[in-house]
Amino acid sequence: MKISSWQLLILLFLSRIFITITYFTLEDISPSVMMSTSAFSVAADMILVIPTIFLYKKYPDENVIRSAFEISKIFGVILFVLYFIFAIFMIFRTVRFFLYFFENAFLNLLPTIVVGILLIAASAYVAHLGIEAAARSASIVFVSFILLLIAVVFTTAEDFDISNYYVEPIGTSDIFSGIVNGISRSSEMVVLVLLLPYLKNGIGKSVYGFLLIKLLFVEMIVLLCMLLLGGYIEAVPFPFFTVCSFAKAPFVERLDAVFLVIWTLMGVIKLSLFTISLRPASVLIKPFSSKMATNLAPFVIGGIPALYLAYKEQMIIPLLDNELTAAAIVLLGTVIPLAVLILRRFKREKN
Amino acid sequence: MNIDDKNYAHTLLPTSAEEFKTMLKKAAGNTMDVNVSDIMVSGHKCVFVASEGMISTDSLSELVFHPLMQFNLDHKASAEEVYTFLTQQSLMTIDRQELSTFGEVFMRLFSGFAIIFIDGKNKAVSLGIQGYDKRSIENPSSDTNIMGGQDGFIEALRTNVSLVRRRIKSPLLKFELMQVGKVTKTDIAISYLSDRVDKKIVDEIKKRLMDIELDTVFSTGYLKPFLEDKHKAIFSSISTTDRPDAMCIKLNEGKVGVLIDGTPFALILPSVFIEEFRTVDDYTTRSFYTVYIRWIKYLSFLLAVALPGLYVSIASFHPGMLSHRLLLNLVASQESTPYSLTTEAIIITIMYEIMREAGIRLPKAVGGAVSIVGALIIGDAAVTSSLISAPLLIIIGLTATASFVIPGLNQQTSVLRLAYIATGGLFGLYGISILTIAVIANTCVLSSLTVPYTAPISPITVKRLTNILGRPSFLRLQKTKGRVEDLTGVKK
Amino acid sequence: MKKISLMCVLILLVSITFSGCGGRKPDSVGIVQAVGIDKAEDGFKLSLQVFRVSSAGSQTPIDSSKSNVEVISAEGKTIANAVEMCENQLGKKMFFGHNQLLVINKEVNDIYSCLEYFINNFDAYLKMVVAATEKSAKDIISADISSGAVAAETMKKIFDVSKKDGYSTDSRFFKVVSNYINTDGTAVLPLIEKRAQAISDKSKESGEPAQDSLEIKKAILIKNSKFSKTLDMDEVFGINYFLSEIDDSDMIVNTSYGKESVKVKNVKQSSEITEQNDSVKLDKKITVRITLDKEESKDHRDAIKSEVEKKVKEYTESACQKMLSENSADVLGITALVRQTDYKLYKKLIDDREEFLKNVKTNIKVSAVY
Repeated sequence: MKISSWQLLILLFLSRIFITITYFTLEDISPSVMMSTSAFSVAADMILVIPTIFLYKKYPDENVIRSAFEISKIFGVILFVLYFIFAIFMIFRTVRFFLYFFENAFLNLLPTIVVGILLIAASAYVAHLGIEAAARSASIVFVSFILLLIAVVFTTAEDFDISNYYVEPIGTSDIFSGIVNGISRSSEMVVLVLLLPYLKNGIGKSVYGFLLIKLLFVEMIVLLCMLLLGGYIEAVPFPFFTVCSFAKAPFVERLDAVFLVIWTLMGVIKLSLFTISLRPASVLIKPFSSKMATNLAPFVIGGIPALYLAYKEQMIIPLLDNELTAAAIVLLGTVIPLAVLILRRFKREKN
Repeated sequence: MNIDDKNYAHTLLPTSAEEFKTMLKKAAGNTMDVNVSDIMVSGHKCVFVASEGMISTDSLSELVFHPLMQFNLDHKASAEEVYTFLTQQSLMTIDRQELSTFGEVFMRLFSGFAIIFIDGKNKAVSLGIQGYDKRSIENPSSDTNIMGGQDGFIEALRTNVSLVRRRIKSPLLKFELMQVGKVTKTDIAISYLSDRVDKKIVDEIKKRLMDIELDTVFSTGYLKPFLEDKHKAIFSSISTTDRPDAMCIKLNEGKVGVLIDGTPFALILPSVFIEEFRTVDDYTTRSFYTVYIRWIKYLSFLLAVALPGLYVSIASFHPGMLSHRLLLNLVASQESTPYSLTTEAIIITIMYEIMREAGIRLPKAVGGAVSIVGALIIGDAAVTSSLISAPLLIIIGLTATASFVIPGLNQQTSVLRLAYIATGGLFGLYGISILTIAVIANTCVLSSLTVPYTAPISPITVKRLTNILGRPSFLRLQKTKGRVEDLTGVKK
Repeated sequence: MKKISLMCVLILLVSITFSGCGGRKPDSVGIVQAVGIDKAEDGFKLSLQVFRVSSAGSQTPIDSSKSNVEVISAEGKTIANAVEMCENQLGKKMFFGHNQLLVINKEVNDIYSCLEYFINNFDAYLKMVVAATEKSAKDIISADISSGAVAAETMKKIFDVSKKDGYSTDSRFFKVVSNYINTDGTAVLPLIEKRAQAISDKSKESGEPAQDSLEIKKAILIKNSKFSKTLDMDEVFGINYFLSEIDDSDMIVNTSYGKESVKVKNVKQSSEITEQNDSVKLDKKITVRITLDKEESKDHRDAIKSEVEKKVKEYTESACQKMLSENSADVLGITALVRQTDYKLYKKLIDDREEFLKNVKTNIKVSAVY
């Protein structure tokens, strides 16, 4: 089953915006700096994604793991294990992050364990249905998100205060940390590398389109929070969520619970992508060739520790701004595809 | 030759009339509805077989016996001459078939044909003089329209075929007849327009029908699971209709219709979700009104499925979403009721389903009494005695009314409604979002013979988007011809 | 495998159904309409106006002629602690999603603690009005205002109209907190007082109790998280004209034609900041629109126009003088303006905010149009 470039764009976009609309911390940086450094972060992404694009153009029906198998079986297995571990780690992080938000924003609404179990079950189900289900559902979720955004902008527009907007000068350290923060939140760049066999055509369109749309929406969302909340933005951990609780629609007094619905839909799609992306390569490795192994195992291995930590109310690792995560993403999303590309060419020339 | 109920289908007809009669009686048993008579045609022994109540006696005497008697008067003929007369020379009935096995004989016999077996010839002739009682053409029962045609399909296949043929007077409209069901041998007619349909789809449908191993096929429900793609879906990727005009519209779009003898409903495939909201009336009203009504239908579907669940979840878990005054009224109304909103909603929903089911099954004479009792019990007494709250009753009433706007999705709306109430009541809007993504994913993965069920919404097909938002004007319809491949993006 | 999964689903369904999770009712939470915070010996005294329906029955709507609320009070070391005590009293969790009003007694020392509880409570209604009182906050929220389903609805309407007319600054919660954070603890809150209205003889005969009314005649400045100076109406008007918040205010002007009452509304404003020594110069242009009750001659209109311009200028200059020079309180958004114009200057100046504000020079031009 193949997906179009537009569908891939939407999948990547939802994975990314899931993080942005909830947790862009402004304890360390101001919204102005965030807006400025986002552009640099996207520029860096545009460069980092080049090996992936070349890999696709060269071998359109393979992802990086399958290509690695062509070089050598052991190499393929090693890469698969690396990406598998990454999937588990990202599932753990995403679930924990989801539960962290839920615990704080909707205090005493539901037991955290129940929230986690439902999230994992739904994600595993969507993953089980495959890329078709995820891609088509993502289109519908995307439209819902746009409608929410339009409703929020229009209903809060009268309270925008232009004096809240300012431009803070940035230095090289700001740019660097902005790039690192941006990359550490971009796990979809690794997912992209694995999703390539599903793509019909038009990788350039989908990837660069995604990056531009991501930049546009990040800037829009930060600007919205800035204009509306002003100084209040420093007091809240979830600025966009606060904006939604402020927004009002004709029959609905506040949109924060609507935000929760759409955010949950995005979260399920994001989580399902981690295991869907492993499917094309998993069939090559016997222990992982069954759907259960690639679908269920990562959710169980990654999800249960996250549930346990949530139950114990502990945050062992920092959620997002993690240099290690950024390094892992660069390794798996850029360095390895580049290495595979070079090695395969080398092998072809040798043959 | 030995014949029994296991091998009759492929047993060849004998040459001797006596043997034919013996074998026929053995295969049919002592069934009282098969009449076997010896007749002499031009001094030649023949056997006449008919099923009681299936043939038209007027047609029999006028179209069969009269010409036979004329032939008889002329001269004494051989078996071959009698056979040639029956099959080629006489103007008896249009529908004449040569039969060579007992399987074919019984097929025709129990379809209302008369069978004539000629002694000395190992073939029989079937004559189409059906005259069994059938219902007259009436208004369609399930899909009512204001301005569209008022005739609907009936149980007789051939009448249904004629209803379609009358509307599409083109030789491109094809009907292919086949039998499904090892015991019932139910006639199925596959219809399509040959210049629009994707031949692969037709072949696939035929293959799936031929692979059916059921003994009996009595209605559309028997065939649907075999025609659908293998996926446990909530929605069905095959639509049904009892309207010939609706079927013609779909055939014109390159779809395939399957008519089944014995049921007034036809199957249309491939079908997409958005077509459940389309009716024939869309093409008989002004386009602005069509757009308006179409969106009312979308809204009705959402209300029918999600409104009670949303109400229960928001009122119980997210009261901040409700307007201030509404919340206060709600709290006031809930003050004296004994159960939680979830329990109340489930109780009323189940009571409504009981009333609805009773309303369908009861004789018409008693139906009115049921609605009065339902209104009194649910409407008045339950609210006055504070068993349930008035706002919830309004919600369920609105939901029930909305569910009748799209009768084709009634099964799904009924079950999903309950699921939404349960998840909304247990987990609030979070539960609703989890259920929603599961339903969306389950629906999105569904395909109807390579056509995605959620097309043209997802994947988006820009050309057909106007058909979702409303209806293109007829001037535009002149220029654009809808095709199934518009939904898949794959040219025929 | 299918049987096992079916069993699991059934067990899950039964356990969830009988776990009692679905037993929530909307009336199982206390819907708080108004909050009053007074100073207690050791912490805060919290008073909550909670919805309590006066007429019950699923078909009976709320009786607007009755109170429909009850006021409960409890003390605690922190606001959260006090809320907990109230919940224990009422036997319900408190829900602040429809809280319309937050009244803080002038005696309360730590204002930010009062606000912080609602910042951290994601249910809190961000547009609730924050006000102060010189007397007891509990008294204010217990005021017997019978119109509207609950008293807090009417209270909010009073504030909305006052704001529109210029008698009160924009004291919605999120705005107050935003300014507070931007200016290191400065804000202006309306000062609300309760007055028992005299009842007519007819009402006395029928035995009706006296009804209360609320009025806003002053405002109070918060500086460094503490209540500071009381502001009179002219100063409040000055602040509102400066910030372009006047929507529809009545102004009495004296012209050679006599005393006139006109409607004035802010329509446009522009600000320009220029660096000057260790501070800034602010050039402000304010445009207001005048609406007259009846047609007047050109000379008459010109006279009114000039009076209105003079009066608005007086208000705004007085507000600038009082707020900036005398009190070094940035309630006029000066810091935000500097930050928007020149971030480097802003960084330099906020190191000594008080000195910077004292030295701000203002040049206000007012023009009135019809």
